[in-house]
Amino acid sequence: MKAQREIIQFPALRELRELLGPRRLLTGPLAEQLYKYDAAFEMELPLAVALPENAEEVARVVGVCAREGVPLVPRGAGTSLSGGAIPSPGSVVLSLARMNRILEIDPGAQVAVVQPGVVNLNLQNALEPQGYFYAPDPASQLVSTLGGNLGHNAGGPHCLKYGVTSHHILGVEMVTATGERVRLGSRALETGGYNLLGLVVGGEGTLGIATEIACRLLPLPEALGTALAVFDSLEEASETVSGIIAAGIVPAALEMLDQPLMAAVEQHVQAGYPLDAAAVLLVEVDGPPAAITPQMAAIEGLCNEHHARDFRSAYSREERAVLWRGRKGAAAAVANLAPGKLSTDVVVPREVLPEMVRQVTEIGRRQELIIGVLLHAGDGNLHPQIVFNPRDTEQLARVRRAQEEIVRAALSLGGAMTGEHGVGSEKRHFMNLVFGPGELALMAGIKRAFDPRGLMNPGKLLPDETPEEAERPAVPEGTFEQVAPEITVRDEQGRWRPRDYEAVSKFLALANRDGRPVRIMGAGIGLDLRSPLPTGQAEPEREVLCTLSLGRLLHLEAANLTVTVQAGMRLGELQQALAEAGQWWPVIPPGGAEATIGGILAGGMSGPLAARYGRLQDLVTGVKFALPSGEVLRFGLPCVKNVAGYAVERLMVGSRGTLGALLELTLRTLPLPERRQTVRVTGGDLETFRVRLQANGTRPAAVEPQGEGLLVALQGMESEVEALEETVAALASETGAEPQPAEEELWTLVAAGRRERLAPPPPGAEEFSRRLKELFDPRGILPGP
Amino acid sequence: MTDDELMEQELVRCNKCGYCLSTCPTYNVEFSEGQAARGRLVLLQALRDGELALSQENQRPDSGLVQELGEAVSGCLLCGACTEACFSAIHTDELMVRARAGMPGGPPKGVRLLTRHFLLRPERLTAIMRLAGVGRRTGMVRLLRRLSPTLELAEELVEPAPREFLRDRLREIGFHPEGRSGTWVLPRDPRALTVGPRVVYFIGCGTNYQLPEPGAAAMRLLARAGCEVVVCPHVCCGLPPYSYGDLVSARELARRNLELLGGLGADFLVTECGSCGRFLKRYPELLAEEPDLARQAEALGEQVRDFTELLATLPLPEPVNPPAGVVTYHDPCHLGRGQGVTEEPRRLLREAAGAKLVELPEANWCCGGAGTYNLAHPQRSEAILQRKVANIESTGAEIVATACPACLLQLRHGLRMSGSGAVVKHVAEIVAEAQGLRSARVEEGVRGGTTNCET
Ligand SMILES: Cc1cc2nc3c(=O)[nH]c(=O)nc-3n(C[C@H](O)[C@H](O)[C@H](O)COP(=O)(O)OP(=O)(O)OC[C@H]3O[C@@H](n4cnc5c(N)ncnc54)[C@H](O)[C@@H]3O)c2cc1C
Ligand code: SF4
Ligand code: SF4
Repeated sequence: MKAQREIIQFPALRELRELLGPRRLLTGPLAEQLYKYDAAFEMELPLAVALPENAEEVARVVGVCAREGVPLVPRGAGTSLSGGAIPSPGSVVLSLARMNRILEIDPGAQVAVVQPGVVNLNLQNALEPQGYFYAPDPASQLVSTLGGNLGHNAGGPHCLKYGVTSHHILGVEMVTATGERVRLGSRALETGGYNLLGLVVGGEGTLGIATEIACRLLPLPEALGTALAVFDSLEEASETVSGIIAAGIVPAALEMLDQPLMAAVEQHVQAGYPLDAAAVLLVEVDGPPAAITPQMAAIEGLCNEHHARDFRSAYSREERAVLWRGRKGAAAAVANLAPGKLSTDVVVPREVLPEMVRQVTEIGRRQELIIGVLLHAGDGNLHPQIVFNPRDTEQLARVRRAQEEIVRAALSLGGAMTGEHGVGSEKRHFMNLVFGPGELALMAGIKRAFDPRGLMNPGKLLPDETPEEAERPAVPEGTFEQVAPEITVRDEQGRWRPRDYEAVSKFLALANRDGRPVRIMGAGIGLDLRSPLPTGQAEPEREVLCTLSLGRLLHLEAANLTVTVQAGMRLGELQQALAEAGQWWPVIPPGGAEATIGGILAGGMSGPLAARYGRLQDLVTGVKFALPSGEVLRFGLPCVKNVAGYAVERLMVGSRGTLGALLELTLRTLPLPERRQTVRVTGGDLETFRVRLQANGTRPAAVEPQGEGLLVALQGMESEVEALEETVAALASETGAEPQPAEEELWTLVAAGRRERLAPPPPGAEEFSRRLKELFDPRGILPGP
Repeated sequence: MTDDELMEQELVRCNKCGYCLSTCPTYNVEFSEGQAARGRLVLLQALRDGELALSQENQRPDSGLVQELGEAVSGCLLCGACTEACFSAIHTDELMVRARAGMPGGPPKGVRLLTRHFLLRPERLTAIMRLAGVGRRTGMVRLLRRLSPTLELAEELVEPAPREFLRDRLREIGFHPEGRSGTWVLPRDPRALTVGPRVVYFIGCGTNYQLPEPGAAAMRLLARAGCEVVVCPHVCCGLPPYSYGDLVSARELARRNLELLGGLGADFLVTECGSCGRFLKRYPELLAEEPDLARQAEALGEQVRDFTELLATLPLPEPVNPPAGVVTYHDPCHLGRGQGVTEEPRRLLREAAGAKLVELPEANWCCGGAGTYNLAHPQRSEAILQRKVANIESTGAEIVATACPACLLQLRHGLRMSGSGAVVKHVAEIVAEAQGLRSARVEEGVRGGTTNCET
């Protein structure tokens, strides 16, 4: 029998079978069929399937496979829509489904530690009675696993307000490509060292296998309101979305269905959608009860302003469920139209959503296909649903063409090829459209740093043809001393200030050629925050490249909630420009308003607002930087959701100028809170006060120790802040503490004092950091990590 | 639609989304694709497309491949939970039955023999059951052993057979013989608040030979609520052979029942067995290839009511003797999902029995009993049962109500093993007791490891 033959042919399998027993190492024609698929199109037979039950077994399986050169494919529930979990040829599928225990729920620390096979909804169900939730809620949450969510950096309707998976993973234990167990991140919000975790999340199992995941918990919101509005034009529906965001409301969900999808839903579940309308918009807001009514009233006003022809609102669980019925029934409705369905996944800047939908409709007409569009309208992510008959090969070819055209359309509108489903095996060939050879080569290098032999989920995420070495830019003629003054301005302190990006590139290329040490600097504030050198090591003389000369704001896309700036722009200036558009970048870094954006990001210290608004790595969506070789690379986009390739933009956060020179950054902005209020609380039982306040459904924006007391930031809608003030007063009297209004500026002090509290990077992953450093800066002209 | 068309039409609609993994009880104990609807469907598809080729050598029923395939195909509980989670509403359960029919070697030969010699000839079945029942153990066990010879658990699972089968006790319940031979009638209770319909009572095999008390209670209750209850000869509904993929036998039994039960001049055909009820309602599909019969089956199917479904529409007096402890309710797959009857049993418990009802978490998860599944796949069935038992224990209920004999047996077994003190009863028993309709020989259900139906 074939199963027997395989066991004999592959000594690795014999060993694995001894390790796991025959019931947990599956081989043979049946096992091959049973694991050849995920929820995407393609299929490939695996060599065998391993079902380990603990991290040690995972490590041993990987160890054996690494030694024998057998590729491995991690698998959760196999619901990947991009082929992330489809076996690579000749691979052992490593199913983590049996590792499904919730190891710990720590409400006090707002952390849960789980095994990777835990189903997302099961975690939610375990958290709910304790008053918490885990924010990422992919539609597949009733079956997809946290390991799989991590692999694809899954999103869900609630990620507009709360962020995607990468925002909520604090740390992992990972089995490396060689079968070692290492920890990345920690249980704290921010960990020092290179942001390796930021790469692994969304790494599609190509960098390692998460065997334990620490995720962030949030207190369940106290109240919810849901609105449903029907529009006669898609433009007006989209303008309503922009209007809501411009009004400073950040809804918990903002979903839209276009006309063909509405028609399908109506046919299937009778949600009460008019068949001739162009779009239906579903908006959900959450927060303290007092904040719901004014937000809902504002939303209703905006819907009316944009000529919604029907508006309904609901507050109770049952009534809200009625409004959600159509949206929730959309998938079934689509399944009802034809036997097969392809759910595509692209992102465009919010303001071009109607244009994108128009193009999708046009593509559908051209390819003679029924396409209904489901939009996570709040973040520009849309899922055109193409229905077809899988047995009709000619039609299937048209489906493929339509998918390709949709991706190209999104890219040409400045969007992303995938917002949440991942690249997997099915979108690999689009990577060349998105990234240049330099970016692809760097990503291939990252892959090698983690997995030198290419055994982890090969054939995923990266295109087949990845240039080993991209072409390096030519180093300018002449000596450093000759050229540097031509392309930069030297300031009084002897720092080199480049005129433009090209100058940075040339400057670095020269220094690199000559092996001349360089330090990259913004406003210079971060220098004092540098960790001291290990004793006995002398800091070499360095040429200082100062980015303050690159201080322009490039694009402020208010409707899209993004802004693109040069790295040398100072925070104060940025906030001022944003404030004019009613927005801000919710960061209070140690350096204060004088610090540059590049310096802040490279420094990697988010400051006290991170728990509320996200860490730096969650607030940057794109970077452009120069490598020491002079090569200029770009990763990410002005899109909140984008999971194409490795998240190098996250790696650059906290890289402290050791990997390259940041040139340009795209940041995620937020509407300015209607009101900001700082309160200082002293005396009494402050610890109890803090714990109770943080467990409150409506969270303060920050709570930090300051001197003898606690500093509390109350931010949000007027009504929200009022409610919080009451809570603070009540908790203070319960714990015998005294609250007093305080200066907003105190927060910068708090931020500066906060740096010791960056969790130290766990030991074990230094080798990866070293390899990454070598990849970016092979001659070591920048400071060490 | 032919079986083959059904197969093709259903398989093509599976887009492998995996949602069925969330509800499939077998997947949720083994976490391997071969024990989920998605994997099972992929295997069928692979067989149809020739990707999974059964070569000469491995086509033999005893080949490793066929056995593995059998494990996936026969491992399905036919609980239908996957269909509920599936956007395409694919009926994996039915496809698995078709697949069992098409397995190399076909459905187990024993099933065909059993049907031909016993199920189609109830008098013989009763005789052998009586014989087998002499001694402590039930004949069910031996019969079941013929289906699946390696069962140590069988004796543990199946409770001691009652001394008398339900059909032996009709007179005691108040029936009297009438008209055509073998027909018995239980007149409406003069105290009834209304004049209810005339109903034919369908006595399932499990009810008759294994658990007569729920049947007796249901009959008494129907009469008390104003029904005239008729019992007449009929055969097994056909579900057991159907579950083993023996469609020939199942259809034979269905045809026979159509002959025996057609034209009885009753308003409804009632049973307290959720599985029989569901299967009777589905005769039209089963007989789809025979249009004339299908039409008759349609008419019969429209008359079928679960006992709770009918009773809930009839007025009953206030309960005189409500159950002492907290009650929780387990939805039998074939009643809840299968017939959409979920509210009625709960309402009866709350209102007609006056019970304090607490909702059972995952009330509609299969208990792993699934007819004779627990005998054929003891380990998996146990694991599924454990989840159910843990949920039951989490409610703190003292009485577990359900509405299908197979579930009753399985739940009793589970609670016995866990050492829990909870008692498992059919809704009919609980309501009957609460209404003061006590059987001459009171059966208290089974507590711990003891049963008092022998006293
Ligand atoms: C109907 C439907 C709706 C969906 N809705 C959404 C949605 O709303 N939002 C969304 O983002 N996605 C959605 N998806 C896509 C899919 O559910 C997500 O990508 C999900 O995160 C995959 O989880 P999984 O457990 O199925 O992982 P798998 O599909 O098994 O694996 C996904 C990837 O993660 C890797 N991986 C798995 N486990 C680990 C691990 N422990 N360590 C490292 N890598 C690992 C795999 O190798 C693979 O590359 C949907 C899919 C379907 C079928
Ligand atoms: S839920 Fe339905 S469509 Fe999805 S995998 Fe299961 S059977 Fe197939
Ligand atoms: S019928 Fe039940 S056991 Fe069978 S595949 Fe569906 S959910 Fe699983």
